[in-house]
Amino acid sequence: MYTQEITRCHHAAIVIAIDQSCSMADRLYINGIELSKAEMVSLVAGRLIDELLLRSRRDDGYRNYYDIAVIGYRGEEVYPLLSKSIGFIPVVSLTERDVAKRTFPMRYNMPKGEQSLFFEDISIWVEPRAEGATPMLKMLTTVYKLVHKWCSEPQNRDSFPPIVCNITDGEASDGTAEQLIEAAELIRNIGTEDGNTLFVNVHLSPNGATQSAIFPRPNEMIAESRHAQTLAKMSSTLPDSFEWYAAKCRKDYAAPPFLAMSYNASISELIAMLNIGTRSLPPTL
Amino acid sequence: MIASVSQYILSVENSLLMFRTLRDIEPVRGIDGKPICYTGNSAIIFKVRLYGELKALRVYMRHHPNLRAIYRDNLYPRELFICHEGDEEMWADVVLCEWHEGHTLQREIAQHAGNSEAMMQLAQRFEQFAARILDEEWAHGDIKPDNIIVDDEAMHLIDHDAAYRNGFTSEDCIELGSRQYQHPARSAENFGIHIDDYPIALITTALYALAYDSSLAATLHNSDYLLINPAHAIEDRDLTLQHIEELFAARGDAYHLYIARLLHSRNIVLFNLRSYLDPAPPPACNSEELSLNCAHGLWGYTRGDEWIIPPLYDLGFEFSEGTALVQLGRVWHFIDEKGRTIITCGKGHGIKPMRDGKSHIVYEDGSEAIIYRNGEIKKI
Repeated sequence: MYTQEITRCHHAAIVIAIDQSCSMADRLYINGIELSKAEMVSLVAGRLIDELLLRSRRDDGYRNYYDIAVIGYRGEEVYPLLSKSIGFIPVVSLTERDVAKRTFPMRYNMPKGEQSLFFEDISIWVEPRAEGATPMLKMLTTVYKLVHKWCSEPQNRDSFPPIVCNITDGEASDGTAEQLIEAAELIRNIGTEDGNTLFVNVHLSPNGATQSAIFPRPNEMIAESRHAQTLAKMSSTLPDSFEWYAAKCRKDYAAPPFLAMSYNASISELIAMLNIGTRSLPPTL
Repeated sequence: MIASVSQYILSVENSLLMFRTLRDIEPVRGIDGKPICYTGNSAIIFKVRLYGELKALRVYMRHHPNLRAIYRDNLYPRELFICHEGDEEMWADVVLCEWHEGHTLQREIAQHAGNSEAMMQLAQRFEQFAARILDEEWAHGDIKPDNIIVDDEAMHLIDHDAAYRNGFTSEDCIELGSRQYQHPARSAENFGIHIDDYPIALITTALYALAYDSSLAATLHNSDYLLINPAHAIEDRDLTLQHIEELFAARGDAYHLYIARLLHSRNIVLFNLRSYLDPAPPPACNSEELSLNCAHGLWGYTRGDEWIIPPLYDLGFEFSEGTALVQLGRVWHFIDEKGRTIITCGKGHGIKPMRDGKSHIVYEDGSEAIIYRNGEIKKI
């Protein structure tokens, strides 16, 4: 399970769901850089999509390895952010678009331990936005339909299962914790012959100084906020084939299970986490 | 830590700061100003220039324990510092290889599929190239059209990450190649010198099939497979492979029919593959010296103990009047003393060897014809 190679005929489906509610206007510091949460999400989503494109590039051009859907939820509604209507688009179609770039300052470590500031051009596939309430339950219903339809298509039957990344600060306005957990479970129960959908929560909290966590173990979430605990319960447990990578990201030798979640994690940890699901992993020997 | 592809690219772009020893590397840039690179499963491959010479720089995103054994002095362990925000140092292994200017075989196939003559040239070049690979004491481990660069002079294998080297054991196997080309039974346990047998047989078969029947090109579009699905082939349910075998039988192409039939093998070691791939021409001899003989259920012709025309045929008759009547699949042919098909008779259930310059065939539909030594076939 979770071993199917991503190929031209066996695409991977990636759904990025972005919280665009008014709380995303809050400022946060990550790695010494101050941004609004909405700008942070735009950066994270932009780097992920750029990464998917880079991973699709071959000697003969881009190959359509990924079906991608990016949706935003704010106010009362769920909106498509990359396409005219809510649905998947082939990732190669993005190569034909003229996308704006924004230069972000990135502080990186250098070989001798000093830090250096680099300026990276990140594609702005998703404009930062922060308004209205947080219809997360409605988003989950929309994602359920999207993922269910994709998995029902015969050509996807044997593919790597969909990966849903929900980037949020965790406060839903249209459902209780129980409703959210139940809705996420319905999504996680849909899958392909290769496994069930992986539901990943990327949780942004306003205070960059608080403890961060990536791929937490379930018992590590007990002391966290109510919203963080709800997101943890919504998240998938990482499958066996990802455990080695999860342990590498955590930088400790904790035993699995690990949750498909990050909490107050920095930019690179978020990117690292999102990359994992999109990698074609060799079968466990 | 796991870095993103863009962070690896950023590191290579800042070669002076980020390389331990290869600081003079300059990434070659495309028309968009970005470094020319593409991403494989475990490494990013950059086109770079070092002291004026073009090179392929493989930067590894995952730890690969066999790089020293595979790439020897071309490996630079922990050579490239990877830019990232984490607090730990992250160094990537790199391999510096020859850069082959050309196109992948994948691209050549896409470009020439539908052009029988070009495909035949490609098939013949690949067969000669593949025969040389089988003569080596190593195996590549991931032979597929994406891993072969074709230039005007030659073909070149790239990406040896899944390679088998002398002395490797099953514990040294960390990649199993692309399943679209590998034998379905490929595993760490059968890691060895024969892991290239199946993909070589598959690609050879597909290329000759495309040369013989250009309509097959239509099935290549948006497919992971090069005509044949290995999992279906070993279970005898690949309809394209069945068609290809009939095609080779009808053409009298005994060698490639033999190779195509090997794709049904349940064993990853393909019996006698090397003998029938790009074979040496048979020694000159007189057809009267040749005797019909059988080995492993197939018929061929010997002189004394020496096979002159190897056992390739489903049925055969002794030579008469310089020709031998043989059957491939359900199709009858006359061959000469070099094993070349000189007359294709068709499918029949009653046919006789050449006598007094002619033969007689009863076709499967009951009709009959006289076959003359000069190749003329007259329906009666």
